[in-house]
Amino acid sequence: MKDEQLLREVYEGSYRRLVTGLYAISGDLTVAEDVVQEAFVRAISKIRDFRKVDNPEAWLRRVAINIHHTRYRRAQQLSFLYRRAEARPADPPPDVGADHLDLIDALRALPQSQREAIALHHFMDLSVAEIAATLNVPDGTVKARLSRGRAALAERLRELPEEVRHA
Amino acid sequence: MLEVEISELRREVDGAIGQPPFEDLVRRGRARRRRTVGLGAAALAVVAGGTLMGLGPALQQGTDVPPVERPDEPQAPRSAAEIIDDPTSRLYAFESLDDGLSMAVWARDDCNDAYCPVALAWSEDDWQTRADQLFQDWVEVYPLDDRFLVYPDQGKEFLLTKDDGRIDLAEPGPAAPATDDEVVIDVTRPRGIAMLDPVTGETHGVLRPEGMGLTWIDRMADGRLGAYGPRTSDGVGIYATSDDGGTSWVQHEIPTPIEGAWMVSDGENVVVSRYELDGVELTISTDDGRTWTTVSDMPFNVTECLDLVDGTLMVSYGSHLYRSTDPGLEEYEEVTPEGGGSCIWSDDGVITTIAADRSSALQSADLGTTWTIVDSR
Repeated sequence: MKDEQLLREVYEGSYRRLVTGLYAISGDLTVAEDVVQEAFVRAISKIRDFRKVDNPEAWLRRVAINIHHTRYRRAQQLSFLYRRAEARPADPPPDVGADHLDLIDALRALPQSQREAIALHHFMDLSVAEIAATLNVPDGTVKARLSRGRAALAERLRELPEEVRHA
Repeated sequence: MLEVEISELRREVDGAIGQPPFEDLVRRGRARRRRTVGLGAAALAVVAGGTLMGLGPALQQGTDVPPVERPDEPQAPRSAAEIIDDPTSRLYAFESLDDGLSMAVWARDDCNDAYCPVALAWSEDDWQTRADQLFQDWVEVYPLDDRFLVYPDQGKEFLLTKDDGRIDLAEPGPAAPATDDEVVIDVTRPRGIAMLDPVTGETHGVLRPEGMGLTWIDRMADGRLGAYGPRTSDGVGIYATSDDGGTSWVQHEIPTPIEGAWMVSDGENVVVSRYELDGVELTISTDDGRTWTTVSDMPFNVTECLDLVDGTLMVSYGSHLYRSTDPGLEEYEEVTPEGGGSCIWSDDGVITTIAADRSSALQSADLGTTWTIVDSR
């Protein structure tokens, strides 16, 4: 029970931040909530292992990202795969962020690696070193992904004519 | 502007998040814990020869737990064992590494004729004791995005490196290894690299350069092997070539940090592209790594992909493509096809790209001057 109480405190303190970050990665609030909840469920199901974790939020973040990879990546991949344009499933309309459709579209258009770096840095306030640890890549790779991701986002937002940009 | 939009979006998302009671998750977690105990006991029983002696209580505990109802949950990933046993799963590599890391690389079943996404998973535990676990329980699962696709027709593949006790992926793009006739699955071993031919199943061993980690290895147009990576003693970037299949290597230092850098070489021209937050820096050699020059202030802020085609450097940036016959002079010409292009790769002088909207593939036989749609499936 003591372990679950600790996890409850983590849940109260980090759930919304984790969901926000996973939203930026997945582009879907329902998916984000689902994978974050699943990460907590796994922590509870392995509570004896979880209490040995030094940084519970980092563990949950990593697990949530991995769950997203395994569960939802295939569906996303299908939309990115090279195939008939008319057969390509359209991205679902955003369930939140109606005032920022351009940014959401631009995030969805990023390669997964860049989108994760952007999400962890700009939506979860992680440092380059923390992102590197989360994604298990060198710091330089994180910097490159952030640089490329930001450049691509800025370019995509800049390319949209003012009259067609959303509010 | 970008920061402002992100900040506003964050606030909006935060306001829309629904947070269920913690007790709901506790119930789900406890139910799964009990079910896992039961399944683990069943597996142990099988290993022990089928006897259930002594495992009754645990099994009973497991069978008493009703399955967790999650009707909206997607189908669970197949287990590693299932993938390995499935002759159609196109497993490319399956390794139990010496230090206890186990890994599997497989082509996913959503391949089409031209493109095949590849996934990678590894386990910190011994493979044999984890083979019955789902991939989602592994330490890492990397379903690779479109920039990691394997292109069977073009001989594109990917590189896995294990350096200083760590498995890593080389950055994708033409800087990744390319060979004409074999898909290369490279897992660096303490003494070398294993190349696996997916058709014949034959492996080819290559000794890796002494004292070097690897982030890139390629068989170049002249038949030599080229390699790029950090010198393990001090991290200095090294470009190495071998004309005897990796038995011996000639090494040259590269005067640029290696982190975040990609390389492409045709055996004469060597280009290292490195990104920093303020832009791109190219380090270029035109004499196979003996001397280097570094240029910056590129007309692009990032380079997504690099390739050398008949001595011409091709660069993709966002949806734009550039070429330069003399990249050291910073003379670049935009050769973007109508509708934009994405990552580029070449084969026998023919450059291929995917349209920015991914609706078609385009090829150019004249270094991007003209483009032809080759497939619009």
